[in-house]
Amino acid sequence: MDIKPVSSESLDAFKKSQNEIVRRATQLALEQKHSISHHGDRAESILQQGYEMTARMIEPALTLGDVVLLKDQLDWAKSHLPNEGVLPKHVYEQLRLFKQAVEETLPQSHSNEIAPYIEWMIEYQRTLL
Amino acid sequence: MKTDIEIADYIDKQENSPYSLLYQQFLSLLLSGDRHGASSLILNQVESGTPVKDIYLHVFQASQYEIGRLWEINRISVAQEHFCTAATQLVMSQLYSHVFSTEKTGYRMIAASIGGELHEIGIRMVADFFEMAGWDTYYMGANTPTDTIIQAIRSLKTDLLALSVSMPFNLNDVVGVIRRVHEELADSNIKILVGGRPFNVSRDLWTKVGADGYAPNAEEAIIVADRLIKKLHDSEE
Repeated sequence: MDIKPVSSESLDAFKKSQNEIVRRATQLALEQKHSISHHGDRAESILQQGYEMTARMIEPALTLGDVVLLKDQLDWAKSHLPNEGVLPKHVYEQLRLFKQAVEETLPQSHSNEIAPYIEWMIEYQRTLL
Repeated sequence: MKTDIEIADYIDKQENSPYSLLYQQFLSLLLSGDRHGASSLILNQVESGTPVKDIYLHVFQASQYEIGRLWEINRISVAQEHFCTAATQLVMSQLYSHVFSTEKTGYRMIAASIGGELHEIGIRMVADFFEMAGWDTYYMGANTPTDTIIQAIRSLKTDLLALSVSMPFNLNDVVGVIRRVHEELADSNIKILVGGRPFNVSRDLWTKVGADGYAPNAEEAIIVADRLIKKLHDSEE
């Protein structure tokens, strides 16, 4: 399962904007009260940590064009995160918001290159629901 | 240390191994926090003739996999996981008089974990396996800076560099190290072997990072390294 590695320009743009993408995705996810209210005061920190991890995990996949790495992480999340109150349906929704944050933050030429990876994750996560 | 793990939960994986009972006993002692008991069990076993390699493969490696699995399914805490790993490393160090007594082949390797990796037990097992196979080994541990690796390869006239990574987000660092070795040591014949979880889940990943080979465990690392060295010698003749 390979997707073409992204260009070094898009990879650099992603790396430089990672904090902003995480901030924006967290902000978007905080608006989805139905999927985070059970976390109470910890919601923001849980979301932020989750998005930071997502961004770190995507980076090598973008460099190497390897989505199997992402599959492994999503499988891990499915088995481990429910213990933290994060269910597969939440991850699915939060990945969609991550894609939106990438699209809003990066120039279109870069986000278009990165989008297939996030779309692949969203689609795979859908199969885990 | 308190644990509610039932032994039946984790013994099944090794039931076909001749060391099934030893594995179960070792893991039980670790999970109950009995480091001295675990150490005595293994030292007695080695004294009575069990090969150290078998202990590494069927007891240490197997129990580390199981400990990782138990952590993933939230059956043990991070503290327990760290205790079990540290205790295993302690027992490994107690076996070093057996590990370092092999006849030498004349080959030399450097073993290191990359990036911010703190998971070093896997690459340490690999280095010990090479030592037991007669290689001179230089185990550089976790979180090794690239400059240190390059400098060591230069000064030690190394045949093989073994790199380990367990977290995918450190893969870019692996790519960086390999690129620098190729650029700065282009005149050397060093071969680069990689391993660790990301390479186990994506079987052609090693080609993408620019390595010469990949091995899923310590035992196969020796086989792949021998093949790479033989290939190099054949091409030189």
